[in-house]
Amino acid sequence: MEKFSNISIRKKLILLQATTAFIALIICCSLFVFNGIATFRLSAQRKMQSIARIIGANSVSALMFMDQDADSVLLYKLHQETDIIDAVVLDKKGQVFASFYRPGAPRENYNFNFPKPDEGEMITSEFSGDKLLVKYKIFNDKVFLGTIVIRSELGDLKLILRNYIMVATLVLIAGLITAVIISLFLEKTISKRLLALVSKTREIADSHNYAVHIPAEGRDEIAVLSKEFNALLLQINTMETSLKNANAELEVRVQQRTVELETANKELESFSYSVSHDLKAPLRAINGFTEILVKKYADKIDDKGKELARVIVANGKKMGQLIEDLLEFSRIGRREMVFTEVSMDEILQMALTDAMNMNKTRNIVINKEKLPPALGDRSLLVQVWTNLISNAIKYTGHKEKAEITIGSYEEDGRNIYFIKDNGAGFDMKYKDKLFKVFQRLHGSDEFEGTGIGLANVSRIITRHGGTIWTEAKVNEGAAFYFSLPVVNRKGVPEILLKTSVN
Amino acid sequence: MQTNRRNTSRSAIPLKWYSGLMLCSVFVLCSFQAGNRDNEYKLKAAFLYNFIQYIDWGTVSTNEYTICMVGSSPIEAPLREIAMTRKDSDKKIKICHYRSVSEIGFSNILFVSKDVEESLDIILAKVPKGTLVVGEKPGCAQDGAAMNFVIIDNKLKFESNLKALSTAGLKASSQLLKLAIIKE
Repeated sequence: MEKFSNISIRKKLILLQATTAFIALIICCSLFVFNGIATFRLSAQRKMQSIARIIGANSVSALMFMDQDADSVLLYKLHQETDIIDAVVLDKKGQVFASFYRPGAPRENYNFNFPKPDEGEMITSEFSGDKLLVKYKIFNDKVFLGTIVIRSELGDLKLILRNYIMVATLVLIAGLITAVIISLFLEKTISKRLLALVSKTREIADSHNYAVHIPAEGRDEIAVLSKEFNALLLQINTMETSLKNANAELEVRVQQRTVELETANKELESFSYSVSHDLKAPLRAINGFTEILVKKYADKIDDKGKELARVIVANGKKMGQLIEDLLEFSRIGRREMVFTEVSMDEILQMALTDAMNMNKTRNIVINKEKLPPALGDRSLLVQVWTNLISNAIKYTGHKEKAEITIGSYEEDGRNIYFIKDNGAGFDMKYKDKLFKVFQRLHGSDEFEGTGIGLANVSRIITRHGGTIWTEAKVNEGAAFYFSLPVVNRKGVPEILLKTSVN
Repeated sequence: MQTNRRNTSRSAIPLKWYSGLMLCSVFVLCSFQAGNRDNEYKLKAAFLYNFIQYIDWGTVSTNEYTICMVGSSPIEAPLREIAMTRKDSDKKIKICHYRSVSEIGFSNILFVSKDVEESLDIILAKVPKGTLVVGEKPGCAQDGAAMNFVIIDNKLKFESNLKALSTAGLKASSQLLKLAIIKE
């Protein structure tokens, strides 16, 4: 059975009403029935006493004149009273003077216990079961003449009892129906409102729409509850509105800032691009004219001068390379990306082949696993691998045998690709500098390079929504990890889906 | 039903119950054998006394009633006994005895013994209005006596002549008449 406290208020109210009505009606009906029985017994007693008195009074003359026949005739008139079983007139000594026995009724030889004339009441009634025995002493002129004894059965009592019980049952049913009707009415004023409050609360909890007003009529507790609830809702709504406004304001500000930043960034990029581009022309002039100077005036310049001219040309070329790299970096930042499903195995193989061709003299061992495909801009991802591989080959230059391991694993819904080498490594405290433009951890006399490669890689990975990080130890090699979103069935990187939604 | 029984406790009973007891004893003897004259007249005396109660005497109410007899009769002794026992009651009785018809004067009840030789007509002619004439000879009621004792089935009964009753200016109670054998 359901626990009472878990039953809904509506059912509780109906149950309460019905139970109260039931108990009240049971009590009423019981009293009604008991009262009815008592009344019936009392009236039966009264009736029998009256009959006894009348018969007694009418028996006086018969008793006085010894006329048993006349008294018997008188008693026989009782046959019309169907509830009288028998009636006996006893004389003064208690002998039967006249009698009436209902035909067919079982004759009982019961002890009349006839009363003494000067003792007890004139008239007595005794109930035994459904039988009533009335005894009445007959006096004439203070002279005791005899006793009349009437025995009757309360046969009607059963009938009356049955009627009472029937009526009581009807009353009970009617009462219960009324109680249910009243509870249904109460439901309107209590449960319905409460349930409305509950459903409204649920609705608000589900929809987060706090701009709702709950009808709160009347002055009872439910109305108070509804009013308080409304006040609470108003507060929440006000807070939510102000929060929304603040958010919207913030959003607008962020957008403004983003636009400003983007503008600044673009300006900066176009500035650096144009600077780099503009720097190339004078640099070409310096290189060209220095070469012409060395060729045309070779005989006029001594060896020392020639050496200096060669240094100028070398530095000019180095500067040209720096400018090229800077332009490339700038291009990577600005280029439109075209997302396709890219076979990492294929582009890795391409990059490896190029790198091995350029370093045929080196003893390089490559360990690689099969890589999962990635979603991204194919040419940019090629650049990532090319940069990372050339990096690994470059920093293993001092090792007799270079060992490069390439692999991948999946973590938190992302594919992580890595490349490890057994090269020079670096001190981890400089790891933040690693991915910045022109930041180098090794001198160019030790390992050549402009310091733009890893900056490019970092930029490409970031633009793909991934991250890049590194683990290294000095002289024990370095490992580079980068994550790219897993390709889902729709072919769109989940991280980009999320960013686009946000 | 009752057969012969003897009342044995008369003296132990208070006087006021005497009449009742007497009735009882009479009742016991109600199926007396013919010829048991004592019992018969005790009963007749009791009946005479009981008549007082059931007759509307029409006159100013009194508590003393006269019962007189014409001719000698064994009823006198039991009557005097009743008069003795009832002398403190509401209905006292005075007994008188007319030796001859010529002596007849006013009394409430006049009992005409069966030994009286004169015809009833002569007696009735002498009886003043307001007197209940009670006979004990068969045919008395038809002859004009208001009441007449008869013995039927060994039981004492009484006949009543309603015409004679009204002629005497008396009314009998219905309680009495229902027990009486009505003669016109």
